[in-house]
Amino acid sequence: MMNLYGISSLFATVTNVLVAVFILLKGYRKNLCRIWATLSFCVAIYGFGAYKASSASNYDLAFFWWQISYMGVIMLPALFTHFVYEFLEIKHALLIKVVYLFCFSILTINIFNASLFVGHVSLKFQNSSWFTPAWWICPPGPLHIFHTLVLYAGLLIFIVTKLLRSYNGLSKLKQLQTKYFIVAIVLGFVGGGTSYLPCFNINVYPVFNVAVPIYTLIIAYAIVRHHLMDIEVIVKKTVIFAGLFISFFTVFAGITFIVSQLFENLISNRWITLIPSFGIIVFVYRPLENFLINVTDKYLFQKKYDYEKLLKTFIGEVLTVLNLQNLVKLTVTKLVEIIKLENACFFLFENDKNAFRLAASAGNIKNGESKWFNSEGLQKLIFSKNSCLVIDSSKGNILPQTMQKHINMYKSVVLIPLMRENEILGMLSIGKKKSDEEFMEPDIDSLMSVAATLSLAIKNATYIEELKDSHLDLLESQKREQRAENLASLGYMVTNLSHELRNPVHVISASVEDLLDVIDMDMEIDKLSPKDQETMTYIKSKLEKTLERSDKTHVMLESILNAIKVTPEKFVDTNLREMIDEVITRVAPYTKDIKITITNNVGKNFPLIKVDPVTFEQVFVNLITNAIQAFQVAQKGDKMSVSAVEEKDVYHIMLEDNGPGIPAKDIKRIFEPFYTTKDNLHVYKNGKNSGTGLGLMIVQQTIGKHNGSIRVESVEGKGTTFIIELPKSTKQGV
Amino acid sequence: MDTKKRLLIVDDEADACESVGNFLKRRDYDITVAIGGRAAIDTLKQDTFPVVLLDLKMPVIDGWTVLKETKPDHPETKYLIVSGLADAGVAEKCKAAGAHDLIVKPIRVRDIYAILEKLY
Repeated sequence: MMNLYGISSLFATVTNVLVAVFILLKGYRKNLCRIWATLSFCVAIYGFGAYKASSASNYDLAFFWWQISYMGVIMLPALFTHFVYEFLEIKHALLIKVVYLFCFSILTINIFNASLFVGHVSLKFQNSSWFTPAWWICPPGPLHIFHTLVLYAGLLIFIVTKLLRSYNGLSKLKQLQTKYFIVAIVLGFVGGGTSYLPCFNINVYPVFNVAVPIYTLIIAYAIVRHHLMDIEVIVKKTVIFAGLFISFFTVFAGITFIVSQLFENLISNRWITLIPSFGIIVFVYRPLENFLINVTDKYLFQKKYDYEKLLKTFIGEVLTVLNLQNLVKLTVTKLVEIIKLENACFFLFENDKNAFRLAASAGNIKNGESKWFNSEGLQKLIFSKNSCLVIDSSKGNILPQTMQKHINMYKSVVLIPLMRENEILGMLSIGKKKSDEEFMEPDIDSLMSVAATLSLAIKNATYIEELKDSHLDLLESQKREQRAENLASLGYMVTNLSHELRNPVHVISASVEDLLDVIDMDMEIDKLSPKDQETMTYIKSKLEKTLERSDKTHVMLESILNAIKVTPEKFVDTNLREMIDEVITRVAPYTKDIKITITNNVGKNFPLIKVDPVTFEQVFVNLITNAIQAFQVAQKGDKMSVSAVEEKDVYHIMLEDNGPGIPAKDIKRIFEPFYTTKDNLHVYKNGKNSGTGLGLMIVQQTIGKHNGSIRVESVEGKGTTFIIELPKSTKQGV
Repeated sequence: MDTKKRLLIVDDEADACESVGNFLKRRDYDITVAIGGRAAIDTLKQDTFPVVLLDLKMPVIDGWTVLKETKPDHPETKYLIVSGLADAGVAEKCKAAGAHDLIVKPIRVRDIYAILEKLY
C-alpha cells in the first residue's frame, strides 16, 4: 500500500542520505558538519522506517518498522541541540550532555522494550476517500509522549529562542545561516511534526511531511556554502511551492470527494478522478503561480531586491564616474544586474534635436536600430509631473503612436525622467524584471532616488567634460599665443635682417652683372688660347648662376619686407568698388594662364569707406592672389567674387571662392607669420610677394590697424570665404 | 654739346654705384656718383643733370628728401626713383612730387640701361 506519507518519507530518506554523504565529503573535519551528517542520517532512518511502517502489510511489520524509524527520531533533539550549541560556539554545555543522556536512554528503552515507546500501532485513514490507509503509532507509549512534548517541542522552542537571542551578536555570515536554520526548523520540524498528530488520534493527514526532505537541503546548503544565496529566494520558492502543492492537493482531493459522492457506483477506480484534476491543474497552474508570487511579494517580500545596495552602488560607484560615456554604461549595467532586469536603456536629451538619444543599453536590446527616442508627448506625460511613467500594457494607456513604437523598440516598462532644476537631462528606460514581477511602489521610489542621484552625476560629468575641454582650449590658445609671440619677434628679426641684407645683395648682383658686362664688352675672348676660352666660359656660367641666385634672394627679401610693412598712413574716403576693380586689374597678369572669373559685386552706391588706400588695397591683392595660387596648385576653382554689405556700425566685405578650401588643420594657423603651404622660391611670379607665409598675416594686421577683423570659413573641396568686418569709424579715420 | 649722356647716380652703397656706373660708362655714359643723400644734394647745388638715378632708401637723408630739396632747382631733370618693392608706397609719393618714373628693385643693370636709353 503506497501512500503520500510513505512516499514523502522515502523521498526524505534519499535526500538525507545524499546530504549526509555530501556534507561528510565536504567537511568531515569540522564538528559542525559531522553533527549535521549524523542528524541527516537519523532523519534518513526515520524516513525509511516511516515509509516501510506506514505501508506495512500487517501489525507486526508496522510495529517493527516504527520501532526502527523512531531510533532515528529519538536522537534528533539531542543532535539538533548539539548542532546549535556547536554553531553558536557554546562549549561543553551541560545541557547537551543531559539531552544526549536522555535520548540515549530512550533509545535503549526503545530497543529493548518498544512497547514503552512505540506503544501500539493502528491503521489510520481507513475511512478516508482521499488518502490510502497507513499504519501509525496509536496510541503511543508513555515515553513517546514524554519525547514529543519535552524533547521535541520543548527543545525546539528552546533552541529557536537561543538562536534568536544570540542573533545580534553573530557575524554577518552566521546571521545569514541562522536565518536558514530558522526556516529549516519551521519547515522540517513543524512539517514533520504534523505526523505526530494521528498518533494522538487527531486524524489530520500529515501533508506537510513533504517539507521534510527540503529542510535538510536548505541547512546543508547553508553550511557548505560560504557565499550564501539570498535567503529570500529560498523562502519565496518554498512558500510558492507549498502553496501550489496545497492548492493542487485541495483540487485533487475536492474533485475526488465530489466524484466519489456523486458517482460512487459508476466509478470503481477513484484514480480516474485524476484526469479532471489534471485538466483543472493545467488550466489554473500559470495564473495560480502568478497569484502566489504576487501575494508573497506583496505580503512577505516587499523588499525583493536590496534597495540599499542599489542606492549604495549608485552613490558609491556610479556618482564618482566623471566620464559621461562610462557613467551611462555603468548605470545600465548596474541596474540590470541589481534589479535583475531583462534590459535597461539610458537616453540623453539633445536640446537641438529636442529628442532623446540612446547613450547606452544593457540586456536584450538589439543594437543598430534607431538611436532616438522621440520626445513628442513624453514631456507632457512625464516631465510635467516630475515622476516616472509606468507603462501598463493591460490598462491600455493611450500613448502617442510614435512613442508606443519606441516603447516597444526599447521594451520599456518604466520611463524615468532625469531632471535637474527644470532642465531635462535624459531618461532611463527600465525593462521587465527577469522574474516577471510588476514594479511596485518601493521599486519606483528607489528608482526615483537613483534618478535624482544620476541627474547629479550627469551634470557633474558634463561639467567636468566642459571644464576639460575649456582647459584644453586654454592650453591650446596659450600655446598659440606663445607661438604667435615667438613668431612676431622672429618677424621683427627677419625684417631687420632683410633690410640689412638687401643692400649687400643688390651690390652683389650689380657687381656680378658689371663683371659679366666687362667680360662681354672689354675682353677679346677670340684672342685667348682655347684653354683660356674654356675657362672664361666656365667663369661666365658661374657668374650668371650667382646673378640669378642673388636676384632671387633679393626678391625674397623684398617680399618679406613688403609683407611685414603694415603702416596705414592716411585714412581717406575710398570707393571700395573702384578699389576692387583696380585690384582685379592689378592681379590680371596672374590669371593669364588659367581661366578664372573675378566678379566685383560691390554695389555702385556702396558708401565710401575710410581706409588707407595703399595698405588696404594690399589686403585684397594678397587675398585674391592667394586664392589664385591655391586654384593653380590644386587645379580646382574658377570663380571668385567680392561683395560687401552695410550694417548698423560695420561693413562686411566678403571674398568668396570655389577653390580647394583650407584643410581644417590649417585653418587656425593661416594668419600666423611664416605659415605657408607654398613653395616660396618656385611660385614667385612678377616680383610680387608669395610664399613667404606673411601674406595673410599682413592682411590681418592691416585690417587690425583699421580696427576691423577678418575671419575665414572654409569647406575643404568646396571653397573658402574670407569675411572682413570693418567698423564704420576706423581709429584714425574719425 | 657733349655726345656723352650725363647721369648722376645716387646711392649709399659705393660698390653698387661703381658697378652700375662702370656698366653705363662702357655704353658712353658720363657718370657722376654721389654716395648718400648729403652728397647728392651738394652735387645738385653745383651741377645739373638731365637724369638722376636716385636710390630711395638711404640712411640719414633718403631719396625722398633729396627729391624734395633739389627738384625745384632742377625742373628739367628727370628723376628716376629706385626703390625696393617694399617701399612702393613712398615711391608713389615721389612720383606725385615730380619724379619722372619709378624703378623697382630687384632689377638688372641692363634693364636700368634700357629705361635710361629711352630718356635721352
